[in-house]
Amino acid sequence: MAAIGSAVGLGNIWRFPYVCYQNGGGAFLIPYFVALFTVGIPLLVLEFGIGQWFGTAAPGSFRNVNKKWEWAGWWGVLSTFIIAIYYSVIMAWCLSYLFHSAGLVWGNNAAAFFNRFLGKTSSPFILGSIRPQILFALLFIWTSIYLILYKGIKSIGKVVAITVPLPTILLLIIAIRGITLPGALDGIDFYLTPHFAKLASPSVWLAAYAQIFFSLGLAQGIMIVYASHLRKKDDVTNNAFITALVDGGTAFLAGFAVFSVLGYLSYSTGASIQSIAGSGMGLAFITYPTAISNLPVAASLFGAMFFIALLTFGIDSAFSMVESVTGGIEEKWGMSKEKATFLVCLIGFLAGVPFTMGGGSYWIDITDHFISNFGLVFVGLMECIVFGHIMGAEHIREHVNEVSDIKLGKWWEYLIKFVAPAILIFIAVASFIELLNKGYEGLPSGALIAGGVIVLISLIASIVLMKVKA
Amino acid sequence: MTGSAIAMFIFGCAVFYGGLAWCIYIAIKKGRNGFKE
Repeated sequence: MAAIGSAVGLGNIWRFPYVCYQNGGGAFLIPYFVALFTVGIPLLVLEFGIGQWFGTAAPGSFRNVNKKWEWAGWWGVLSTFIIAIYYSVIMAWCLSYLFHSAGLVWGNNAAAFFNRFLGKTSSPFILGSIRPQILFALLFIWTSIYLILYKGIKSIGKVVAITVPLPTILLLIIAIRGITLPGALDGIDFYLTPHFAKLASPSVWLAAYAQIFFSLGLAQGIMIVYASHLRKKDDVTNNAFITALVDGGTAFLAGFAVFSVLGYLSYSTGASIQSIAGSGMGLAFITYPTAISNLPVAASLFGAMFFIALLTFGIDSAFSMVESVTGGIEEKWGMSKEKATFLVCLIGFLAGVPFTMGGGSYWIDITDHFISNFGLVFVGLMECIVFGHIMGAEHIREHVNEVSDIKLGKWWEYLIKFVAPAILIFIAVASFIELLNKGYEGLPSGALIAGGVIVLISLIASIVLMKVKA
Repeated sequence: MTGSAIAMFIFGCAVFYGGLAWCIYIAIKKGRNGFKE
C-alpha cells in the first residue's frame, strides 16, 4: 500500500493524460504497456527484490554489493531529497489553492491569479521576495511529513490506509461528474481516439518509457527502503505488478477527470480543446481552476475535491521520498528514526524557502527537468550495472522466484542487464540533444547550466557521504 | 464517442483493472502480501 502511495503522485494526474493525448491518444496505451512490462515492472521487481534481500535502504544495498558503489545509492537518495524539496513547495501551492477554492478567488482569469499568487518574476535570476502564504503552507506540509514519519513504518501504514483510497475515490467522483457535463465526450474523444500512425515515431516510444520510469518512482531508493520492511516470505513479483497497475490505472482514470472537464471548458468557452489542453502546473493551477469556475453547480465543492485529491496523492509520495533519505542516514550513522526525520524535515523546509520566492517556480521547473532526466536516469543505469552485471541479476531472480507466485524466466535478467540500460541511455541522450537544440521552456542558458550544476553537486555530495565514516 | 475511442477505453480497462483484479486475487488466495509485524 505504501509503495502504491509513493508511485501514485501528482504526475499521474497532471502528466499522463496530456502525454497520452499528445502521443497518439488511445494508441499510446500500446507503447505504454510495452514499456510497463519490459522496463517498469522488471525494474520494480529488481528494487523490491534488492530491498527485501538486503533489508537495507539504497546506499546500504549498493554497499552490500561492494563498498565502492555506495555513492550510487546516495546519489539516488540525494536526487530524491532534492525532488522532495520542490515537490513539497508544489504541495504548499495545492494547500493554498484548497483554501482559495472556497471562494473561487482566481475568478475568470486563473492565469493572472496564479502569477500574482506566486509573485512570479520575469526571470529565474530575479528571485523576488518570499511569499508568506506559500511559506506557511510549506511549514505545514513539512510538519505533517515529520509527524507521519517519526514513529516509523507502522504510522506510515495507518496514513496510507487513508491517503491512497481517498484521492482515488475523489478522482472517481470528479471523473463521473466530468463525463456528465456537456461537451465532456468530445474531450474524452481527444484523450482516447487512437492515432496508430504516431506509433511509427520513436519519440512516442521514448515518451512511454520516460512516463513509466518517472511515474513509478524508480531509482529514487524509495521502493528499496519500503521493500526492506517486507517479510522474507512476502511475494515480490505480485507486489510489483499491483503497484505498477494501480499507478497506471490511476493515471488512466485521471485522464477521464481531466479531459471530460477540458471538453466541458471547450464547450462553454468556445475555445478548441487543443488550445486548452496542457500538463503540469498549467493544468493544475490554471486550466482546471478555470474549468471549475465554469461549472454550473457546486463549483467550490469540486474545486476543493480536486485540490484535496492532489494533496493526498502528493503527501504519500512526499513522505516516501523523505523515508528514502532517513533510511540511509539511520543505517549509516545509527541515528534514531526521530532525530533523522527531524533533521531531514528541517533541512528540507529550509532548502525549500528559496522556491517560495517569486522566481521559485522557474527553479522548480529547471531542477525537476535536470534531476529527473539526468540524475535519476543515471542512478537507474547504475542499478542495472551494479545489481544486474556486478552482483548478478540471476541471484535476485532466484530469490524473487523463491517467494513469488509469478515466476520470472531468464528473460527478466536480459531486460535488467541490457534492455533497461539501453533505454535509460537513450532517454538521457535524447534529453541532452533536445536540450542542446531547443533549450528548455525558453529559459536562459545560464539557468540551464545551473540545472546541470545541481546534478553535479548531488553527485559530488553522494561521494562525500560515502567517504564520511559511519 | 467514436468507436475507436471506446475500443481503446475497453482495452485500457481490461489491462489495468483486469490485470489488477487478477493480481489481487492471487495475493488474497496466497495471503503473502504486507509488511512484517
